[in-house]
Amino acid sequence: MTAPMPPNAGQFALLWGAVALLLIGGGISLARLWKPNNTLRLTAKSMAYFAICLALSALIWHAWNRRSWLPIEDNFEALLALAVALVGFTLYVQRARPIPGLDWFLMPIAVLMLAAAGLFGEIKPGAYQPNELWRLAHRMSTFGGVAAFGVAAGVGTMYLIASAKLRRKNLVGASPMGSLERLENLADWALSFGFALLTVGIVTGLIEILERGSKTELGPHWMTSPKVILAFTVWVVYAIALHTPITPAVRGRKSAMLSIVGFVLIFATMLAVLYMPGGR
Amino acid sequence: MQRLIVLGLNHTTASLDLREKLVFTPPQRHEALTGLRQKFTDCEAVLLSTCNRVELYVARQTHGHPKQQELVEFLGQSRGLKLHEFQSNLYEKSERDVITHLFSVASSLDSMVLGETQILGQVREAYDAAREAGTTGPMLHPLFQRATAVAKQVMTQTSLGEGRTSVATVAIEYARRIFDVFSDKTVLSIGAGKMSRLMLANMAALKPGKLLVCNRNPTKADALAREFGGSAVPMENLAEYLAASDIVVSGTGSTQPIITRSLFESVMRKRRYRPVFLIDIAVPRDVAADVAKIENVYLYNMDDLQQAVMATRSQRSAAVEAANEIVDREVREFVAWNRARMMGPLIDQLYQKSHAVAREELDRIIGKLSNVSPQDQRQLEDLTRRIVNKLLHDPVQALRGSDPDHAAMSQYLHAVQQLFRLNLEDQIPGKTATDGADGDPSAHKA
Repeated sequence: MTAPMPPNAGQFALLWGAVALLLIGGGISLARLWKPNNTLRLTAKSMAYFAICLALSALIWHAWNRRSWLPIEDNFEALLALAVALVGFTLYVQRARPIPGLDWFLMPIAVLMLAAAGLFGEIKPGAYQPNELWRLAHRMSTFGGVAAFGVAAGVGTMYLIASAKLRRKNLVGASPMGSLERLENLADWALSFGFALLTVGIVTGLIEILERGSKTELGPHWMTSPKVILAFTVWVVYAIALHTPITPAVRGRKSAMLSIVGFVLIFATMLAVLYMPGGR
Repeated sequence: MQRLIVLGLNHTTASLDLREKLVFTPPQRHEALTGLRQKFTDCEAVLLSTCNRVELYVARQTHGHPKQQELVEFLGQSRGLKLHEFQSNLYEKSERDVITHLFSVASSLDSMVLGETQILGQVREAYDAAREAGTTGPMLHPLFQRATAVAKQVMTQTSLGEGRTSVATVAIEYARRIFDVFSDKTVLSIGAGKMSRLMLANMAALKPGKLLVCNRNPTKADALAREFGGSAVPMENLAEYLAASDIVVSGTGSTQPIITRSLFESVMRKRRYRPVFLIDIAVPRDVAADVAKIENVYLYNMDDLQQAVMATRSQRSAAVEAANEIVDREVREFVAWNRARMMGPLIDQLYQKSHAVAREELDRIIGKLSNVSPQDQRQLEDLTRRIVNKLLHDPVQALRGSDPDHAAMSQYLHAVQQLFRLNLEDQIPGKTATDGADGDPSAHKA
């Protein structure tokens, strides 16, 4: 077990620097809606790369200070690692097989995560102590699930906009956002991946509770704690969103809407974990 | 000093018959370029020959050869045509107009189909052919390289290249926005009329996995299906084929909708609600309007497609304006770069020659004077240098600030060259360049 160590001013500066770069890059990228320009595209992309470098530097610095390299031991580094993974994923997709506008929808989620790292990291440093296998599996799978659901929500929003444009029969104007089929495939992939991780997270969390009983942070009334209720609700929402093979009517726009609802709920679960009494 | 000219004809000035007679095949072009170079050793030339235009770009000394008439005769001789057959169809542009023209041509602004990219490839090909023939030099190298860059800029920074100009191409654009991969998709055409054929021709270009044609007349259905490598299916089993199809083009002569909401709801259930693209090109309509309300159904009728075409065209006028702005800006930059490139050596030589004359005269007078101390000599040298500099200051400034739109820059430079008897043959940078790298205006901009 490592000792709790709050992030220092330098690490916060790097984190807020990354947020600023992502926001400026996002603004520049959005400017392409009015003036399609390759220089703007490259500038926005460079900003995202610089932001990743800053966030990674903060992460490595923090890990070095803690002498622990698993980035899930406190809110600061866990959220930071998630945001880096999300920005990295976006840049990878845009490089491998670009979906126009993907960054407009995923980068705000990364910014949200970084901002949460900046705020909650200071409030509750050293929140986790992954000294047991179950706890470790629980943290890793839930955090991974959040990142995947972030992607699904972002892509789901894109699907809704693209579908609305097609229904309005609007070909003219801003650039397309990739085909509906591609967006649906990407959202399905992110949902499946996130759902698998969330399921592992819930099961391992349950094992932890059963092993330790009322000694867990959730206390004796763990079943009615906001974290457990919200986590289960999120699981049900994603289960519905994903069960298109059984009831195919829930696909396309409905599935996209459920992805967004699920992400809002999972974010609420995180807030519950961080703020509400007995939330953890 | 070099003068830039273009001589040519295109689809707006000459008929297809005439264009066909003047067109150059690659070997003929090579032969023509080498022939031109043998005849006029100092000139540079690029010959652009496409189905829509034949243009000869030439850079030559200001009062050198070939003159316009010599170029016309050369074109006629190369293709075995008499002058009266084509001379009236030719246009000639010089200096700045040539640059504007080439940048517009490469950007497809002068093309029959706006936004087509084929012309850029043809311009590049013409430039490569001229390089191979050794007929490009310090003027045409940078000009053609810049033209290529400008065309790319126009294509990436404007929506000119978004080629949606017909109902069929708009339908394809919609299809691409719904589906990502077409190799696992099925296209069904209900009806086998002219419009259905046109639509199928465009859809076939997407290379769908299956192409089906359904028509009351099996012979017509079979003929159309075979034309595009598809298969004909019976009209009686329409619902079954609708469920199996991802893109449906309907264009029958039926007076009542053949696809109703209730029919299509059952079709969607069978399809497990996979998205479907319905294109109704029939008038009166084949598909009931309320079919569009079913989830994951994207229905477009003739009106929708035509409105998209109209909207695209009005959007294009904005794109043309934006493209013209890019071309104008790039022409200004190229002209400025070219002025600096040509003026520098000339001004240098003007100063060198004037100072040499002053120095010569000064040495002569010092030789005649007695008791000139070294200090006096330095004073005299300063005096002559200042006089020369002051005398040249105004003309040089006037030359630098001369308005390129008022008179051709090469005329100014030529006048200075003649008035002061300057010889720049060996001083123009990049004169012997073969790859044009030294003369790339984009490098100058960077």
